[in-house]
Amino acid sequence: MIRGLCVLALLGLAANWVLLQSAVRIVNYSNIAAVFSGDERAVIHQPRKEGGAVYALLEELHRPGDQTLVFGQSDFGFYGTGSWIDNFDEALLDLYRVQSAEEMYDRLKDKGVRFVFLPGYTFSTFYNTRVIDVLGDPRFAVPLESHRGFRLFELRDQPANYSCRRVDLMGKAPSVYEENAPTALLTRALELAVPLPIPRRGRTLALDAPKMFLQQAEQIEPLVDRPRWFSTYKQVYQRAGVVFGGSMGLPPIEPELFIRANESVLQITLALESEAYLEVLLLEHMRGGKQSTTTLADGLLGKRGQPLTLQHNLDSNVESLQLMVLAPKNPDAVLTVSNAELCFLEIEPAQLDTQSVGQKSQPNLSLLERQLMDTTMSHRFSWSPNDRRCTTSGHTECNDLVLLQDNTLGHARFDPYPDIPVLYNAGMIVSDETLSYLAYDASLAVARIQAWIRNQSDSRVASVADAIFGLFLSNPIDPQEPTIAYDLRFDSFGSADAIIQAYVSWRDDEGEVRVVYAGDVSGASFDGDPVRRLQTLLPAVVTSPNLVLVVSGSHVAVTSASLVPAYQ
Amino acid sequence: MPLGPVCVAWVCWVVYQTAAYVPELDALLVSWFVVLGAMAILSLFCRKQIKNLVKECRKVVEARYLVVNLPRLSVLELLYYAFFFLIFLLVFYQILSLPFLENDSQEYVLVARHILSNGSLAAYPVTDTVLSGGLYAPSSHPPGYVMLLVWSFLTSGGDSLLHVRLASAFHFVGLLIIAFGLRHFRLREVAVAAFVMMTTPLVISMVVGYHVDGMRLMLFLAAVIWTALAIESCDLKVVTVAGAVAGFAAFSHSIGLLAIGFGGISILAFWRGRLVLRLLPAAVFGAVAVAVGGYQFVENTVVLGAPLMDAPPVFVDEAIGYTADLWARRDIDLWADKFVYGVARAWFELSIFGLGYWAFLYLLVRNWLAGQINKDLIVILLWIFSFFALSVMTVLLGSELIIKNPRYALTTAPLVAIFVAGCLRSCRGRLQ
Repeated sequence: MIRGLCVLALLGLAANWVLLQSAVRIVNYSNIAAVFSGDERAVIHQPRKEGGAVYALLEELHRPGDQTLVFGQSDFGFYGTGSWIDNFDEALLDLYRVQSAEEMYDRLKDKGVRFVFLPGYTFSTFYNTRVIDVLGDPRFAVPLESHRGFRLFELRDQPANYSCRRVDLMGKAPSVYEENAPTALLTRALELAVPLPIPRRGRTLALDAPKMFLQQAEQIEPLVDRPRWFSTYKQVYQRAGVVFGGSMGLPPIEPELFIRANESVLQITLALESEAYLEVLLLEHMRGGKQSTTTLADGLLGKRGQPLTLQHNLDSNVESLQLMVLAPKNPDAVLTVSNAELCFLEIEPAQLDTQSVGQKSQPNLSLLERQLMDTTMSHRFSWSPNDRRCTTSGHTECNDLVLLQDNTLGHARFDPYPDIPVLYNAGMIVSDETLSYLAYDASLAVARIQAWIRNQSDSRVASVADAIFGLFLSNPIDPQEPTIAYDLRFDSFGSADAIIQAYVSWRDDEGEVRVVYAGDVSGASFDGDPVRRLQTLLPAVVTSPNLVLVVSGSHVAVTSASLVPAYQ
Repeated sequence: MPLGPVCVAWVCWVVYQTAAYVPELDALLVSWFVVLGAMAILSLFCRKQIKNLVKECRKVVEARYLVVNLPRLSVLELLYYAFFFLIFLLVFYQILSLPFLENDSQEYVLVARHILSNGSLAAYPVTDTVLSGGLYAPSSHPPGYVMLLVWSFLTSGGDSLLHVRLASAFHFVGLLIIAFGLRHFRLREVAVAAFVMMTTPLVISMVVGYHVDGMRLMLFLAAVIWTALAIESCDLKVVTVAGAVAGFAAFSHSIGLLAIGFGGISILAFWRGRLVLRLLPAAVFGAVAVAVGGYQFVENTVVLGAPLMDAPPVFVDEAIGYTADLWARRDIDLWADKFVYGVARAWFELSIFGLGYWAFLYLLVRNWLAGQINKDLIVILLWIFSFFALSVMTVLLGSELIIKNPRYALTTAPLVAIFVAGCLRSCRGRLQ
């Protein structure tokens, strides 16, 4: 019997990878109707297809005779439009030897190149030649579209001047990328125990690892220091990745890294030195809590000997961003960052018409207005049973949530409000002290999972899960039921390194707790207005709704909150 | 029967190669006749083996064993078959419904379409980008799979990729059942081997995503099986067929070149009689194999200076630094990396190689100690060891050619599966 069960477990284990991987492939990509109709290109309209939106845009913009310089030939040849020049084509060897961006631009135009197509990775033909300089220079190129790592640039007909809002990242507090996986800790322990290089793959060792590792690292490389302020001296990182603008996974703590109205293109300048394989990633924080990560460049970028300039188009949903440089593969990586600068470009009026297809419409709204428009079921999934919470009618009773210690090594502490309680990491403010937390836990968990699922608009897994979820869970608000709009207002200030999620709960006729998700906002104060506003619908019969705020992140204070019918 | 498509591809290649000189040749018509001829010759050569194969295949089709024994199967066996059929169905559904997303599968199609439109192999490898509308594919791999695609486009009109998918499905089935060719393998052993193959995730992702791999894996496995049959029969006719199959393996993919070398070594090592007497079958094997599948390698050697060449000028330009970038990207810089995640990756990357290689190691030790490894399995074992010995040697010589891509190590996966099934049979009397 036991032997049989063991064999069965082995069979299941053996089959599990294939079954799981097959399920993911089928759910994400399969389209048997397209195959049998002969329309193999139909997949570009599926959200999961990398570069689908890029191909669709190119199909629209392409004119007869336009050439595309491609850095991922096979996919482009299969799904792209028009003729192309492959980056490995030996006819380009002369072109790769030119010494200036201006000359490269001219030569590309001479070859009839109008578009440049990049897949989710960049070979040395991109970053060790002047192609990167042309694409990174707003005078010569416009980033039109990016989709799941694939990007499309258009070379301008003529070089153009530009102006932008510059943000020097060297004076900001960088934070070191931290890997919390237990296996990483285990490997680090092994490293200390075994004096041989332990083989590893695709991971980054961080400086803020256990102290033992720090000591070990210092022994190996005396130049190593914890990164604090870039402007004071040249920083050297060993086995580290660095995030500019706060902790990874949370919106940036620097208000300058929030996108302003009409800013639609980002230029990045980075001076890197390293022998290791590096990745430059852009973390985009979308409205509603979603994140997107784009690999802007990867390869032996630190051996280039010259600063990298990169451009990226910003989706209208992007609210803020962070920049990340990783050395994920070489365990002996030493990364030196001597310059890091961002430049936010506004879209040019002349381009609005021609590029309206590529750049999604971006209304001229302030961030606060954009937040107010966001009444969708948006959500940031960061709740855990370890969230701290208190019940209060005012902030003064939440003093126990103030955590003074800063456990993010290398992360400059940002605490300009020492006299006011600051919620650190996570807290929940509940206006009804009588409710049991268990009921909240259960209802909130359900509401949050549902919200998260519904927020994954491009995931077919999520759409299936939502339908399945709906079979077992009733909507907290009956669609037939009359409803009233409620305004949620709460005052908060602090840094943007936090998310405040708002829920409203009530008890129905049978005494069951029901929860709806009202939305979330950043903890930062924009335009000097500390008031956060959201709106939600509640059943008309509800007489005493409760406001639940879940604060995730750090350095934010909530000083008052109210929930009132919209007509008052 | 499983060799049908590669025969078609081979004939197609002959026709297109000839068409470079005689453009008015009717490719389709000639191909049909030559395929029929090749099949007739094959059937004359190995009537016994084909009869056996057909008999066993009929068993599979009728599912006689399973249906008859269904009431007597244990819960465990039922679950095993349930897993088996679930994966089998999933694989087929994926082959039919997934779009072409992988680099190689896309490039093969692009190259095949170019050859089709060009009407001959004069434009292979594809380096004339003016003629090809931008397509630049300088890899000088043997064109076996490409020619199969050309054939499928010829017969389907050129647009539909359904034939490509069906070819992949066909080779996948061939991969699962070709072990019937081994003398001691019956339904149960073949089912075990098929299960091990189907639970190697990279086999499945390659078959459903890259398409070419079903063909090359099946032919490599066919080559080792025919080599084992040839050694067992001590018959030069079977050696000839084995050489042809090894040639087809080399014709289908560059790594199939190993089949010729490994087959020759196997014959030299295990043929009965003195070493001098073994040279003749080895020479016949090698000559036939090179005649069938060696043209591209010979041409590469003459034109490019090496049998395998995959380095266009941009790759070797020092200022661009493509090679340094590639090695850094593949993450095999350290010696430990080269061995653990290069040579021995099949044991350490479970999510793509599954448990089959661990089962192989376990059963190898167990059966070796028990003296239960028969000659068929010894030949297979020699091929597996030869592959990994070659990997070690190339790494020690400073080349990452074999370890750079997990698909190369995957070549041994079907052999490992057959070995596992064979060892289980040896140890379990009721399986015999």
